[in-house]
Amino acid sequence: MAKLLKVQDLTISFQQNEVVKNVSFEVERGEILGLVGQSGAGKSMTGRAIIRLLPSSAHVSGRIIFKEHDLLTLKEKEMRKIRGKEITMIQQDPVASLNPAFKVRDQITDIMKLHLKLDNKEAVNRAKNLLNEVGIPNPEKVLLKYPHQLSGGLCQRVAIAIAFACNPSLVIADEPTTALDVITQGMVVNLMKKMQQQFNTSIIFITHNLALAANICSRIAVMNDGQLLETITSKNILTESSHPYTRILLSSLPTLRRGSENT
Amino acid sequence: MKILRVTNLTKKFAEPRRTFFGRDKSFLKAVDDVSFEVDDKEIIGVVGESGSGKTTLAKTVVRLYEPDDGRIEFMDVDITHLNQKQLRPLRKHIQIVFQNPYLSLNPRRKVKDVIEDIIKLHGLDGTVSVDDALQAVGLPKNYGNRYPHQLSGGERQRVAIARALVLKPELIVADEITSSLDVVTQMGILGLLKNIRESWETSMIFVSHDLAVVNHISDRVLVMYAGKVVEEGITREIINNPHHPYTQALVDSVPDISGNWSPKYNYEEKDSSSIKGCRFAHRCPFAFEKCYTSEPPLIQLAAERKVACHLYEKNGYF
Amino acid sequence: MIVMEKTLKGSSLNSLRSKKILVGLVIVTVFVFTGLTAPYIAPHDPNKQSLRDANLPPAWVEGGNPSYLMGTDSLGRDIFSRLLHGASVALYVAATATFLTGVVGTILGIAAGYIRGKIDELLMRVVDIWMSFPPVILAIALISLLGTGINNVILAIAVVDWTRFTRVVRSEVLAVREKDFVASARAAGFSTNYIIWREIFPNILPTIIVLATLEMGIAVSVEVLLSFVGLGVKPTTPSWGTMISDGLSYLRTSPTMLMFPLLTTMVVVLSLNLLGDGIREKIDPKLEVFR
Repeated sequence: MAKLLKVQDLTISFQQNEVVKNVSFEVERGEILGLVGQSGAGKSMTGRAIIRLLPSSAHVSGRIIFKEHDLLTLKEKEMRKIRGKEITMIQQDPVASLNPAFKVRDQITDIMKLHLKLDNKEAVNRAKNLLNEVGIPNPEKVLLKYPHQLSGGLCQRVAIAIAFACNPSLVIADEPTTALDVITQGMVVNLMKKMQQQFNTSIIFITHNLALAANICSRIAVMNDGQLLETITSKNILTESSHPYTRILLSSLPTLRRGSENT
Repeated sequence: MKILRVTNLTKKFAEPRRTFFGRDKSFLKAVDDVSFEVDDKEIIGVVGESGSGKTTLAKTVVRLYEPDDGRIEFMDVDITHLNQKQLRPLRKHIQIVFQNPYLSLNPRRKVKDVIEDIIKLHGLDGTVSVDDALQAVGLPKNYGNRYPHQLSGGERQRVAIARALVLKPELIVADEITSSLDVVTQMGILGLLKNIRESWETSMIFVSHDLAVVNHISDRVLVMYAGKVVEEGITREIINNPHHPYTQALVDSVPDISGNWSPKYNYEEKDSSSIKGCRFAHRCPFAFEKCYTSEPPLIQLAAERKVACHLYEKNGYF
Repeated sequence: MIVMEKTLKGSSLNSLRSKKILVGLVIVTVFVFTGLTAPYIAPHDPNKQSLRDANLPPAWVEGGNPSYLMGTDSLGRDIFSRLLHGASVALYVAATATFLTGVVGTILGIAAGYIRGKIDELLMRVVDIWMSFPPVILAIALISLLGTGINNVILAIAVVDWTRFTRVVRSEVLAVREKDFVASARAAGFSTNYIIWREIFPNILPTIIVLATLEMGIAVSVEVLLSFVGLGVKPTTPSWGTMISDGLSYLRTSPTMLMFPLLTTMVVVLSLNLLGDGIREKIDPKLEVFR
C-alpha cells in the first residue's frame, strides 16, 4: 500500500544556517509517528514544512510527497485546500492557538463552512458532536465561551476537535501536551489515540519527551541538530536503538522506577 | 537541629479573576497552611502542577515574600517577619536558584564577576575562590571569562548554582531549575546536586512539576495541590504506594518508557478556589459528601506519611 | 455618577469599570450630546450681534442679564450659545478627521504589517519622510494653499496625522500576525482576506479604539489652535479657538470671555485623553480583549 507521506531529503535553512539537514522519513496511513528531539533539533520546523507554514525567510529544498503530490511544488492556493482539510495542525499553547476575539463555536464552524461547505445549522450541529467526541461534557455551554474563559486542557480538546473536524488524513501535533500538566497530558493523549483510531488518521507527534512518544507512537524518528538519526519501533525501543545519541537520551530519562541508570 | 521548620505558612495574593464577569479583587491563598521540616543534609522535593503554590512556597521560605500567617524558623531562628536589613546576614545561609538561567544572570557581567561580587558582598575573600566555585559545579576554570550568552542553558544553570554555593549555604532552594533544560543536561544537573549534597553537606528544597525528576533526587516529597500539601512522605514509598487520589493520578500519569502506560484519569479541571470542601473533590474519583463540605486536615498516617484526605480518616473509608 | 457606576457594574461593560473611563466617558458624552443638539438647545443665535448687549458679564455677576447666561462678547453675541455651537464644530472636526485618519491608517497599517515586502518598505519610507516635516508647518502650509474653513481644517489634521495612525496599526499587526492563533488559521486553510478580517482586525480593534479616542483629542486641540490664529474656521463659524482669541483682548476687563472657552477646551481634550488612556489600561495585552 502506498505511503501516505514521504519526506525526502528535506533541508530547511535560514540565511546560511541549516536547521533541518537532509531529513527523510515516511508515514503510513493510520499510524502515529513520533518526531522526538530536544529543543532546536528541527522537529517543529519539519512539521511546519509539511503543512507549509514556515516563515517566508525560510529556504526549503527536497520533496514532500503527500498522496502522490509533492507539496513543495504546489501553489499557495492549492495548498490552502489541503490545509485544514487533508492536513491539520495542533499547536503547543492551547489557549494561544485559538482566536481570543471569537467564541469557540465560530472557530469550529468557520473551518467546516470553509472546507465542507456546510451551512450554519449543520456546522453548529457537527460542532456539538465533535465536542462530545473530544470528551467535553456540556458542549452547548462551551461553544459559547471565549478561549480565555477555558482551561488549557479544555482549549486543547477544542483544538483537537478543530483538527479532526474535516476528517483529515494527517494531523501534525506540535508538542500538543508540553504546555499541559501531566495529568491533563494523560487525558489528551488518550483522546488523541481515540480520535486517531476513530478517524483512521495518521499523526506526526512532535515532542521532546521520549517516554511519552514511546507510549503513543508506533514508530519514533529521533532528531538532533537538524538531522534524523534513526527511526525505531516503540515496542523495541530499548533493544532496537543503535545510535549513540538515542542511547544517551534513553539513559537520561528520569523514571519512577527505583534508582536510575546513571548518576 | 532542623535546618528549616515551617509551620502553618500562608501567603495570599490579591488577584483579578480570570473570568469575564468577576469581582475585581479577590484574595487567592497561593500557599495555605503549609507545614514541613527539612533535616540536615536532606533533599525535600516539592511537586505540583502550575498554580499549586510550590513556587510561592519556595519564594516565601527564603523570604522573598513575607508570609501572611504562620512561622518560618531557620536553624532555630524565627525569620518570619524580619526586615530586609535583618535578613541580609541570612542570605549567606539560604540561597535560591531559579528556573530561567537566561534571566537570573546579568548579561553584561562575566561569570567570574558574578561570583566574585557575591564573595565580596559577604566578605568571604580568601575562603572561597571563583575557581573553587566553578570546579564545584563541574565547569573549567577558563569559563570565568565568559559572558552568559557564551554559555549553554545547562552551563548557565551551573553558574547560577555556583553563585549560590560560594557562600556555603546550609540550605539551597531550587525552583524548577531543570525545567527549561533538555533531558540530558537535566541529568547532569541532578547528578551535580547530589554531589553537592554529599560534599558540601547542604540541604535542599527541590521544586518541580515533574514527579520523575523529583524521584531522582529527593529523599522525601511534599505533594501540593491548590496551595495545600495533600501528601508527604518518603519519596520511594509515595511513588510505590501513593495514598492521596491526586498523588495516585500523578504517579499514574508519568509516561514510562517500558510502554506499560495507560493513564486512567479522565476529568476536567475547574477553577477550584471557590470550593468549600477539599480542593481536589471536584476532580476526585473517590469524592463523597464530606469531601464537598469540609477540608481534610493533613494527618499523620504512619511514621513517615501524612495525607490530607477524608478517605483516610478514622471514620472515613479506610 | 453613582448611578452610572452601578449600571456599569451590573452590565457586561463591567470590565470597563475604571475611574479614568468613568470621568472621561461622562464628559465626552456631554460633549457629544451638546455638539449634536447645539442648534436646538442654544438659547440664542451664536452669530446674532447686539451692540446694545455687548460685553455683558455672566448672569450671576452684578450687571449681568439672565438671558445671557455666560455673558456676551464685544459684539454682543451670547457666549453660552457660542460655546454650545463651538462644541458642534469641535465634534464635527474631531469625528470626521478621526474617521479619515482612522480608515487610512488602518488600511495602510494592515497592508504594511501583514503583507509586508515591497509594500511595507515603500509605505514606511513615505511615512518616515512625511513625518520629518514639522507637523505645524505642514498644517499651516496646507491651509494657506487651500484656504481656511472647517473642511480644510479636517483635511489638514488628516494629512498630518495619518502617519502616526499607520505606524501604530502596523506595529500592532506585526505583533498579532506572529501569534499562534494566526498560525492556526493559516493551518486551517483560510485565505489572507479571512485572516486579516477575522483574525487580525478584531484583535487590533481595541488599540484602534484607543488611538481614535486620543486622535479626537488631538483633532479638537488642533482645530482650536488653528481657529485661534485665524487659520481655522471661517469667521462666521463659532469656534472655541476664535472665542479664545477674542477673549484674549478683553482679558483684563472681562476675563470670563477667555476663561469659558479655554476651560471648556481643556476639559474636553483632557477627558478624551483620559478616556483613551483608561481604555488602553483595560486592554489585557495577553488576550487583546478587555479584561
